[in-house]
Amino acid sequence: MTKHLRLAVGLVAILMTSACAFDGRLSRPENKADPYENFNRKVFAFNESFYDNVMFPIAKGYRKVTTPFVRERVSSFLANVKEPVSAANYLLQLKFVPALKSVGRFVVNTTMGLGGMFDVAPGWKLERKDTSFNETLASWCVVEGPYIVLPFLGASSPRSLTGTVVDAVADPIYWMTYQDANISAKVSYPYTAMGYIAFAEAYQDIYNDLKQNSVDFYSTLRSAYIQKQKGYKCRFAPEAEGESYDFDFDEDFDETDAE
Amino acid sequence: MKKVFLTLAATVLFFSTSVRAEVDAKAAEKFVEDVTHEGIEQIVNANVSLAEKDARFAALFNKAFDLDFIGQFVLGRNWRAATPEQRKEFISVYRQLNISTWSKRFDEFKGKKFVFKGTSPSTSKGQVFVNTIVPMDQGEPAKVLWRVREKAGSYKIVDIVIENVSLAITARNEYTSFIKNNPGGIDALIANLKSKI
Repeated sequence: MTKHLRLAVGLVAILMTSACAFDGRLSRPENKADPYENFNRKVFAFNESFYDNVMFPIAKGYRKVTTPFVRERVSSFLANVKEPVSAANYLLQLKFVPALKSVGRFVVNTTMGLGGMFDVAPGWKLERKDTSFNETLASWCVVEGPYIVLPFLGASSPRSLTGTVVDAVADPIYWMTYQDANISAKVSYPYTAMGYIAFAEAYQDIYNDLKQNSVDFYSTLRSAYIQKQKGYKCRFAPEAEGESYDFDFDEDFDETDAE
Repeated sequence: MKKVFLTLAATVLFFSTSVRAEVDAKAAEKFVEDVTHEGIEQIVNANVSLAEKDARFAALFNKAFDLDFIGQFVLGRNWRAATPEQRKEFISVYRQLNISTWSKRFDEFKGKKFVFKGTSPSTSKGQVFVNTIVPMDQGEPAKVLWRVREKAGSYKIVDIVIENVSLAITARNEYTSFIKNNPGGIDALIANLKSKI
């Protein structure tokens, strides 16, 4: 565990410094949130072809051989495994009630929900509400850094990537199987693969819908991603700071790009 | 003491009424409730032909959304550079595209509902956010905010914010980027949008 901790802390430190250093200050790009647009668009094009030719066909196959009932059991199971990660992140965000709720959900669903296959916790007023290490960092006012498109994973940023890595290392399946390479290969990889397939199955329709109705799909996803990230509030931000979606929306809009 | 209290009460009353005069949040919420109710009862759950559903959706959309206002916003700085013909044509195409895409998306709303969660203020004059959530079959409910603008006593929706993502901002960024990267400019944008209808 100490090795993991050191790895995680090191990663966080490196990425946080780079996030600060590269926070749009080194260059003056057209879109200041996306200084590496040319590079990002290339990765984006690669991802598009990967999703269309590999990921979505696999997801379609998964949809073909399963019923909605089975897929719901799989998604519930996967979500339940990640529940302790949410609980830990709520603790780090000093949100104690949600942390307790998350622990409660895990206990109820793991036992009465048959290993997490059924989400029965809402019956105890324990509704699902996930959080992540990215949100933890955001809550402590770590800047997001520039927009980056990662191969296979898509829209991200230094802060978000740090969050993804830390959450993955904190995943119970990962640390339970880490000690034994044999078990790790048999459990951890299929588990990770299943996670991606279930995710692709759930989102392929909305992805295709958006893509079909967009004139510049890259910009559409970038805009949505950046807006979503802006919704995570920093705990030291002044109360007066309004909601990020409450931009100036009047008869005579000014020339500045609302983003 | 009594006098102080009365002055205080009067001040509070004065400020609360002056805020209410700005935009009637309750009425705005009622407006969105009526629109979504009509949409679900008369369109999604109605036992009529697809053509009839599309026609009803178009009528409801035109009644509820201020497309002239939104269209002007999403073109951003390019709105000023556009000729009156380009503006007219863009609004028309943008309207048709929104009707056709949302008509399809809305049809998948079957069995779902909006739960109203009050309103929140906007910094823009005469506008308010109506907060709703949509319970999902699985996982967390989706947060959907309706930005409503009051004009001369009538209400229109000018933006929808889904999970913190504003559709108006997203469209504006998308179209601005397209026009910037395209030698054809606004005409190319109009042609591209037309091909999607």
